[in-house]
Amino acid sequence: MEILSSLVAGFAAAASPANLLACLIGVAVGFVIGVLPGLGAPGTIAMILPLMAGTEPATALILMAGVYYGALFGGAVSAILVNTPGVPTSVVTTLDGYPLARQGKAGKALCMACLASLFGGTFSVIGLTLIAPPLATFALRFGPPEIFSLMVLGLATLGWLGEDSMLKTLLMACLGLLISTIGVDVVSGSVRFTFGLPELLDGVPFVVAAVGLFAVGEVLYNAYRPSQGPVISHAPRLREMLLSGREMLSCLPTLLRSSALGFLVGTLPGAGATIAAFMAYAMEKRLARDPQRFGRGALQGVAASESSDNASTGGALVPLFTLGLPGSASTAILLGGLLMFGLEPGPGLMKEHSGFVWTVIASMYIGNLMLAAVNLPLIPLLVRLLRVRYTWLYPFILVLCLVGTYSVRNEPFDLVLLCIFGVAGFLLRVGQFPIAPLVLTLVLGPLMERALRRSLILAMGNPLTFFSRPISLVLLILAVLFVVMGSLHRRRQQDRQQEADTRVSPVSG
Amino acid sequence: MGRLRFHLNAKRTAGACFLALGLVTIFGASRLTYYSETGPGDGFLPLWLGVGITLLALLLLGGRSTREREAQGHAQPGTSPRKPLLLVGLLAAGLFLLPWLGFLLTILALMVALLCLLEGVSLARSLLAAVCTSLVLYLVFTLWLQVPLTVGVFGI
Repeated sequence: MEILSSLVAGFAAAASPANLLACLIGVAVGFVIGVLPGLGAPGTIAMILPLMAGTEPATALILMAGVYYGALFGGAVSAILVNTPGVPTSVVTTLDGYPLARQGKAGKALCMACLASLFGGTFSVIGLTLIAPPLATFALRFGPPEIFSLMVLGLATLGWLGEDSMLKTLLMACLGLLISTIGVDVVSGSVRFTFGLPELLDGVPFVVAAVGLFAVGEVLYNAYRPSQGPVISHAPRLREMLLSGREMLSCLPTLLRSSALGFLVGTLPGAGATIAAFMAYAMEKRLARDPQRFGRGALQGVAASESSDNASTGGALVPLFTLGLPGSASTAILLGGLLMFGLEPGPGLMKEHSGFVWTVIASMYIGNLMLAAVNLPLIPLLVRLLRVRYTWLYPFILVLCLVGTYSVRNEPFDLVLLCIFGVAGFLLRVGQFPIAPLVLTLVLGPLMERALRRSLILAMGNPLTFFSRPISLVLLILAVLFVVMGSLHRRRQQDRQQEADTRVSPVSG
Repeated sequence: MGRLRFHLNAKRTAGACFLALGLVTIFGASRLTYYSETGPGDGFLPLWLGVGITLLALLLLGGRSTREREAQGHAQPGTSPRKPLLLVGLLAAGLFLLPWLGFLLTILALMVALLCLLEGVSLARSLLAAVCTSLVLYLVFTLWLQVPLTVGVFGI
């Protein structure tokens, strides 16, 4: 009852004109930022933080939170329409969102992304409201060995991402991990694989690699194939763009499961929305009755990635509000914001500044609704972009990639990297190498290596530390199960394929 | 048969490239610290990655399963590397000219080249599209988002 009354008071405060306006601005800015590759929510929040110094703390936090989850949906839009993940979590959305767009179902994909974002965000806020303290206590038990084992579990989901050869998937995973080692090693401070280039001291920016591999690589690959007309030849009717009741109902179990998983993973410090999205996708593919639809335009694929990454936003706030531990880059900047306003995050925050905390939580409910209300009417307009002939579309995509990439560090060298990754993405597509595993390991690599080395340092070099800690052991067992089930799944797929080939051509030449 | 040969050549080329990458990685990692008193060093993960890539590349080169099915399933008629090569060439030329032309003029020139030279769109329409694009980029990135785009010798 106390929680309910606090929440009602929070809604009353969040619904003030100033806070509603801040929410709207945050969501709109975040959406634009998410669509434009390169900018990203953390950088945007860091840019606007100093501008918020003179405002009310709650208003500032509401605006920054709006930017955060507005960017998540914005990233989904570019992922679906032009196969360019605007934010890291949108990489998973490209797997099914882009194929849906190519089939003329961009409206449905965008609609699902919007509603899944709303569902996941709302789910996470409910979770934040009800179970933040006990969850925070559980999250405290995650040390470097548990983080490493969680990353291993994340890598184990690679086997479920696509139907490609396991050999090629592993090669791409290793390549991604290798690229992630470029730059200064944060543990020892030594420089690795920079070839004397100072621009590589900070490593390869994720955005540069992702935009190059996905967007530029896709443009080059489309140039390689026979010329194509527009993706859709006529203006789709409204009902063709929106989801039917049956489609929404069929995705409801996916939304529930993925939101729950995303929220739980989001509470773990360092895990992040990207790994939540990949794990939710792999889980849904594993549980689906017809998993072969995934990767070819399954609405459940879009639902899984979008609901889980938005659910992880609320999850990431759990350790921030209750323990003062940021769960991701964006929440680390939010932490800076709290400190700037003289609010010390931790167990005392909810007791001493409960009005502030509940106002922010209430604003997240409002923000999620605002996100859907603002973006759903935009879907018909966004879908119309696909009527444009590709001849006209791809130069704009390339230009957007160039400018967006340059805006990350204002380094001309990043444009050279973009082109290199673009060519690599093209060659990988021609050779039928999957790109998603490379991108996943590029994100997880630094976290994984840091956790591995810290674990072994703390355990004086004893590798049994990963097996002697219960949570770590459970995660590793799950990872092994995932790998074994993934291999069996591929074997069954190959056997079915061979049977189908034998039926089609019983007499081989 | 031609498609099969193309696929096998592509697979061998990929395998050879990854094999070279694996060996170079092992060489590079050998110059780093593998293990120290406090635990794994900066060469620990790269060395194992190099070994992994090398082994996987050898498997890729020596793999014999499902060749024909892969070749038949994934053959793509009508493909040509000419256009992607031209595209990459134009991008490279744009990057080369960036310090002199500045970002906005480079984008303008690149768009005109892509539309007019590569896609056969008329010069007038290409110029119009390029100018509009550059203007929008200036408004959004330079004025609104305050991203400092490179300025060339013409002050733009």
